[in-house]
Amino acid sequence: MRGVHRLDLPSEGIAFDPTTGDTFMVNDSGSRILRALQTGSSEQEVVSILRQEYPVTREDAERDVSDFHSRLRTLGLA
Amino acid sequence: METIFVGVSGINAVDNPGPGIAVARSLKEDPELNVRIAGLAYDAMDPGIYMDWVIDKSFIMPYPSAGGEGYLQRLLEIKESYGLDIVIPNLDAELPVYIKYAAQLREHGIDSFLPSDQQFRLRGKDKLADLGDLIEVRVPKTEVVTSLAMLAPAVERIGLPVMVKGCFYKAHRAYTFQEAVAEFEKLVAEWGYPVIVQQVVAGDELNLVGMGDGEGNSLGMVAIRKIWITSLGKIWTGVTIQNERLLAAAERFIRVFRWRGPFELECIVNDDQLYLIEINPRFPAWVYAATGVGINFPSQLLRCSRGLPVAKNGQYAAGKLFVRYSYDLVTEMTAFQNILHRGESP
Repeated sequence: MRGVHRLDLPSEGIAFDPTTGDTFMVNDSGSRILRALQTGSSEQEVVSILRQEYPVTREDAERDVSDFHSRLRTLGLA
Repeated sequence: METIFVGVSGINAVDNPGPGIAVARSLKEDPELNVRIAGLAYDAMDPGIYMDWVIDKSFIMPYPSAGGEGYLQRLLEIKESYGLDIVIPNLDAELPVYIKYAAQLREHGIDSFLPSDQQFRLRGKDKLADLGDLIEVRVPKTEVVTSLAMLAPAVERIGLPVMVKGCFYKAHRAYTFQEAVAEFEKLVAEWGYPVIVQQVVAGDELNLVGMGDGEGNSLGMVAIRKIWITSLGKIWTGVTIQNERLLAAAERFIRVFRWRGPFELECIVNDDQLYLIEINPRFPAWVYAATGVGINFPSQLLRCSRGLPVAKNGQYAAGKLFVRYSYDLVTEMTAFQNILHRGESP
């Protein structure tokens, strides 16, 4: 998750990579996942955070976190 | 406050802009300097001539290719009639003349802050492959072509598509050998030999402006990612970045070459690999982006050459947006007539 740590989250819905200049749009839960990953949370801990803060089943939360992680890998951020 | 008369070239603020307007504007924004800008123009239609809030007075210059003596004479005339304490040349084609006559200009009281002739040659497009090893960056396959007969084997070794580049300016992508020949002939007609044939590297364009003190030390650097470019490949929108690999390459360039003066690194990043495309021995046209984030390179240059205090803080913020825009002005026809007839603005 080295790439995630370098992301700047200057405002709601935006993630900026100061190394490459890439700007990403993320939704509310995406921002929450990024912030959690930046503070060192594991995937399972992120799932728990999503379940606490959003009306979502464990199964949906696990799938969303897994999908998000795949997307980060595609973008070279994980 | 002492008035410093600064000659600034490259005031052609057109679709492929020279750096002059950004340089002049940066100088005027240093509150501790009192500068008068002499615009050194090559064409009566250069927009900078008419931008009197940036360029105080403009002069038509002879082309540097016409001979150094005439060029030197023109600078001395400007010094006598208007004042000229320092020159900041911003165009590749004129740099050899300024470097050659730097000592003579200094004897006449005209300073500059330029690389040596040897430094200038070592960073040439034809020396790029050797330079990449020295500063530890990859360089796309590059061949120097000095005749039409050399073009076909060069293109074959590199593989299509290729970039066909002039020795000073212009670069065109060629997808077929026929296109390569056509671009080659156009470049030779306009800029002469050599022509550079280079492998096309896909990726994001990252550029860096920096300045060396001539002793191996950096006077600052700012990197930018091109977000939007014109049809000529020139930056129109960009964002400042902190790319450690690019900044480290620039530090090595300054240290290894003991570079004196401004420079621009043009790079492409592709799958975490950094490719060096070109090193320009001058300010880039986007240098105002650096001024905007707090590193005023033109002011640093002027201060270095005049022995004035130089800012040491080289920190800048990533994520600052650079936006170029077009603008219109209306002025008297006499301004144009004056520059045509007298070779200088009113």
